[in-house]
Amino acid sequence: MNFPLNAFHELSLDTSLIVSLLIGIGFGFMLEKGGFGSSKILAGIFYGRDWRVLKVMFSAIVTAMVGLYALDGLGMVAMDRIAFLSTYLWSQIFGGLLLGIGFVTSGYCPGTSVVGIVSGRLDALVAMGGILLGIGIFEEGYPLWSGLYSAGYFGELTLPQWSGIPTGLIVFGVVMVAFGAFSAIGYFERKARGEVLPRKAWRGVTAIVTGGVVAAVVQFAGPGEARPMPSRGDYGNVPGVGALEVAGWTVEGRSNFMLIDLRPEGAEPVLPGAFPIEQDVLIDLRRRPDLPKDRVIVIADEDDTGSAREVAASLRMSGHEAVYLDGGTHGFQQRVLDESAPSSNAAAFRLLMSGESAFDGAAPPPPTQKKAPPKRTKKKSKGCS
Amino acid sequence: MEDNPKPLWSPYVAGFGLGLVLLASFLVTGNGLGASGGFGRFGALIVNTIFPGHVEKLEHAGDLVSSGVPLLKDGLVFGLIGVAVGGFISALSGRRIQPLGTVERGSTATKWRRLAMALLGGIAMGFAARLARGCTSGQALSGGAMLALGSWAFMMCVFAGGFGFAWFVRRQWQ
Repeated sequence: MNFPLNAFHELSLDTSLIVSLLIGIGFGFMLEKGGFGSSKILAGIFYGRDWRVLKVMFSAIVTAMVGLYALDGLGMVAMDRIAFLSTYLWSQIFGGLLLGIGFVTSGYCPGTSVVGIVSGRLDALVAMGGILLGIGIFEEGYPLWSGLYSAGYFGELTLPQWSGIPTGLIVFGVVMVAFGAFSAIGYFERKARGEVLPRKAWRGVTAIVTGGVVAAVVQFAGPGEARPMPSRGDYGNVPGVGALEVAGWTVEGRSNFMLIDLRPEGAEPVLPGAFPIEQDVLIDLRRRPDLPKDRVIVIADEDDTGSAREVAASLRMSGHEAVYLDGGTHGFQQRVLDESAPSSNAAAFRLLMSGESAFDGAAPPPPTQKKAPPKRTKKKSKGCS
Repeated sequence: MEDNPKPLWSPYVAGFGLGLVLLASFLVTGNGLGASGGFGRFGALIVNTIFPGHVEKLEHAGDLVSSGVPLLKDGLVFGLIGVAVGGFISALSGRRIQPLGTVERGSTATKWRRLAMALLGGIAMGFAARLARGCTSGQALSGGAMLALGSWAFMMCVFAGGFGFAWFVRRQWQ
C-alpha cells in the first residue's frame, strides 16, 4: 500500500471533506481525553503544576514521527507528497514566542479553545473571540509585517537536512529526548507525591523506546525512497548555462529545452519565450505543474546566486534535467538583449525576436511558444497555515 | 453532570492516540492537523458577511476568497468542526461537560480578570498563529512530527514564551 492515499487515489472534494471531519473528530476526542479542554490544566505546565501538555504533545509527536519515518523507510510513503512545512525561521521564532505568551495568558491554544467551548467553558469562548480578533489584526495590517512574515526563508528544510545527521538517528534521538523528559518528569512527580510509578507506565515507556529503535533501524536499513528535496549542499552541484548558449538554442529553433522565469510576471527585461512560474510553486511538489522530463529546463532569476540554483536542484531531485541561467536575466540583458552585445548569436536572437528572420527563408518560431503554458496547480492551503 | 467526572486518560495514552490520529492524517490526506487555518476561514466569512467584498481587497487574506470556492468548503474548516464534535463526544462520555458558562480561574481571581486575560491572550495567539503560519497543532505537532526545522524552533519558542511570561499573568490562577 502506498501513502498518502490522496496522492495515489483520486478523492473527490466531498470525500476529502468527510475524511477531514473524521480526522478532526479523532483530534478533538484525544485532546479532550488528554485534559486539554481545561485552561487550568493547559496553563499548568507553565507553572510546573501539571506536565500533561508536555506528556501528551511529545507522545503524539513521537508516535506520528516514528510511524511516518518507519513507513518511509519501508518505501511505503511518497514523502514528497506530504505537505512539509517550510521554514521561515524569524516569523516562526517571533510567532512562537508570541503564541507562547498568548497561550499562558489565555490558558488555551487555538485548537484546545474549541474543546474548551464544547465542554461548556466561557473563558474558552472568549479566547476564541480573541483569536479571531488577532487574525483580523494580522490580516488588516499585513503590509506592516509582511517583511517579518517571510523573514528567514529556508524552504522545506528538515532537521536531518539541516544538521546533516541521518534521519534514522534524528528519529531515535527525538525518541530518547522524549524518553528522558518523561522519566525526569515522572521522577519529580513521584518524589513530590511520594508515589511509585505504576508498572503499566513502564510498559508504555518500553513501547516508545522499542518504536524508536525500530524506526531508526528501518530508516537505516529499509529500502527507502529518494526524497526529492534538495539540501543546502546540493545547490553547488547544479550546472548552469550561459545566456548566449540559450540564445543560440532559440535561434537554432531547438525544441529540447524550456525556459522558466522565477520573477514576478511583467518583470523587466522580458525573457522571450519564458514561462513565468514562481519559486514557491516549483519547489512545492504538490503545486508544481507537470514539467517535461525530456527537455532541459533552464531556470532564470534576476541573478544566479540563490533561487535559481535552489529550484534547479529541487527539479533535479525529481529527475528533471534542470540548470540555472548563468548570470540571470541581468546577464541575459547585457549579453544578448542589449543592442551593443557583440555576439552573432545575440544579434540573431534580437533579429528573431523583432519579428524578422535571421536566416533566408522561414525560420521556425521559437519552439517554446508552440506548447501551451504548463498548467498551474491551485494553491493548496496546508496544515494550520 | 460534572458531579462524577470520569478520570482523564493517562497523558501517554491520550498522546499515543493523538499521534495515531496525526499519522492517519498524514497517510490519508498528506497534511497534518490544523486549527488556526480553519479559524481564519471562519473569520473571513464573518467579515465578508458584514462588509461584503472587504476580504478580497486584503493583500494576504484575499487569496482565501479569490479562488471562488466557498470559504467553508475546506478541509481545515471541516477538521475544526470535527474537533468540536470529537471534543464534545469525549467530554460527554467522560461526564466532564461543565455547567454552561464556567470560567476556570484561581480561587481568589475574579471572573472578569480571567475573561480579560482570555481575550488578550487570544488576540496575541491569533496574530501569532498567522505570523508563524500555524499554531500548536499545525506547526508544533504536525511540523514537529515531520521533523521540520522551523516547526521545532517554533515549538521551543512557544515554551520559552509561555514560561517566560507565566509570572506576569499568574494572578488569574491564584
